[in-house]
Amino acid sequence: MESKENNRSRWFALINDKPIIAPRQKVRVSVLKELASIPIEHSLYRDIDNPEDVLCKNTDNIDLVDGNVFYSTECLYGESKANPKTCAKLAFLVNDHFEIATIRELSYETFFGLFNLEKGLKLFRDFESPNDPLIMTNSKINFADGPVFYTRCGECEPSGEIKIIVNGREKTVSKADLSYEEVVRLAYIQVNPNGVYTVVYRNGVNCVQGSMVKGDIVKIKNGMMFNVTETCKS
Amino acid sequence: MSQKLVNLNADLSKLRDEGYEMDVKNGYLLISNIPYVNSNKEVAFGTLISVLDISGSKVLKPLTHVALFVGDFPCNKDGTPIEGIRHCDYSQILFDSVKPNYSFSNKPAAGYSDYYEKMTRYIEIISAPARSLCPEVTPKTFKRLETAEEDSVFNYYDTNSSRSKINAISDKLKNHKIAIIGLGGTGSYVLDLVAKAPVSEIHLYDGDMFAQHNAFRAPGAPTIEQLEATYPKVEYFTDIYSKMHRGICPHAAFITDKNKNELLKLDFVFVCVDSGKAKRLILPLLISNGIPFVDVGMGVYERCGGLVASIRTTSFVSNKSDFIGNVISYEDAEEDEYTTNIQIADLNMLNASFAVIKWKKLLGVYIDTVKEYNNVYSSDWNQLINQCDETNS
Repeated sequence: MESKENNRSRWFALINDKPIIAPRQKVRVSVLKELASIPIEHSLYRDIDNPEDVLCKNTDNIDLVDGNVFYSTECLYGESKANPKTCAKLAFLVNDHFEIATIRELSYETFFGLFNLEKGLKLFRDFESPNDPLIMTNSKINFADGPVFYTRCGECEPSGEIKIIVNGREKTVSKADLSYEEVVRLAYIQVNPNGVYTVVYRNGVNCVQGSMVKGDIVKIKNGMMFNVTETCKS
Repeated sequence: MSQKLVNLNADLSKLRDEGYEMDVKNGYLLISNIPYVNSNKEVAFGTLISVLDISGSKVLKPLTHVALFVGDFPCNKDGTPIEGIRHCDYSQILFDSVKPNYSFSNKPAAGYSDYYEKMTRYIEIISAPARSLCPEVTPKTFKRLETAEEDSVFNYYDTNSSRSKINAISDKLKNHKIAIIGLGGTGSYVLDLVAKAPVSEIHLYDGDMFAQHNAFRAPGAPTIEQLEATYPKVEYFTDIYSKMHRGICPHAAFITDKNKNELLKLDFVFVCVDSGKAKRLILPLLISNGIPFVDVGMGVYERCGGLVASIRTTSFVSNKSDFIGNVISYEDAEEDEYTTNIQIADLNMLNASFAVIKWKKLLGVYIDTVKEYNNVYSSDWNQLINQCDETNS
């Protein structure tokens, strides 16, 4: 089940060069360690490109907007060292690839250059909602507004085609998101309006996987897979 | 203590007859009131324990030479520990309130040939200094322990739990009354698993007869004569599992308005029925009475000459039921590939395992970190998707 809260941009932390999708912008260090499979007793540092990187205590609630790049070491964690003055590293994620910057605000062109994105692609900031904002061509991209993005091909959006797989069959969809009811109708010709269908998906936008029930809407992307069944047999 | 077990085995009866304060409980042999010297050079009394390896009612040759001890570490007359037998400190609860402090290791080259030899050898080592300090003390008190038969739900000892020293954990399932509604593929595998748990009562509800196709979706292997005899399913399974568990109660009926209130005396229900109509009767009743349950169900479809299965396991505990109507159907489903004769015992078994593991999580046997209330396994992706509340910070 994906979170259904709207108007919340997706956040991630880059830990030991692996992007870890965070449940929210402010996260407890112990949770980050668990998500990144780092033993709780290892030291986690926020990477500020300085020998005095900041040690994160397990009980700290850290705000990823202050810098979302971390690394861990096997040494047991002790007290934090002197307060650093330099800039924390900032990681952005586009279509599951990350790049690191040290400035908080990038121009549209710089951002495209950083990720080597083709001109003409449409860039969306990933919110946990069906209405992700399109980033306008001349706007600035501010880290604090959310570091997770994806692109769609310019010509085929929003009226273009996305190929998804429902119950092992390829389906072509011409919109960016699907409701539970729409997914069920793609799987079954005859749908019992009072029936309850088990809908699960994988390989979604930013690699999300999850399940859907009545009322849920999910963003789709090429190659996303759905399984729809009536799980009533025993 | 089972007198029968002691009478049938020469090594145990010899221990009893020589006057040791012996008891057999939860698959362990315990001898209490064993004199030893503590580090203050005083005589104290402890309990020596050994796992009992049993096959049916026959005690086997001890598989391990290690023994456990409740008490201080036994010392020589001068108060120095008898280091020769030291093995480890011990802090696990074996069962009830039995909590050993140490394990000992003294291994004869050929191992111990029986429990008499094993226990008396350890007693000799532990008690010798005490008897030297105080010659009148003896472990052979001839005090007879209570001879009541152990109130076990099994026809023989659960030596699996005692061997792996998890009795205290499996005891969390004791005195529970559970029901399995529907003895189809999944329900019969649920029974196969819960029959090995120390629950007090297992009620089986199903109005169908055991038919030939059921044999291919059920644990075990019936003979052709058993199939021809056309038993009600609940009786067929009661016959099998009563060989092991004493608390199996067959009800050859479906749940209807007439008998539904029988469910209210239960601690937990496994709902393993196909019919949405039946669920419409059963689930709201359990929810409104706060009786926890697991509902199982699978969907299988055929694609490119192969099968794809989704296996759902949904659980209800007292305070969370709003999601149930969104994940469990109260409608009777369309005919699909599953209703034809596809053999899928392995999927039934997996669904039953998920259900039983969830039940054991709810009782604290397994740790329940994410507290999923619904999960779906997709066979083609080999992936398990959990539905749970995000409270992990």
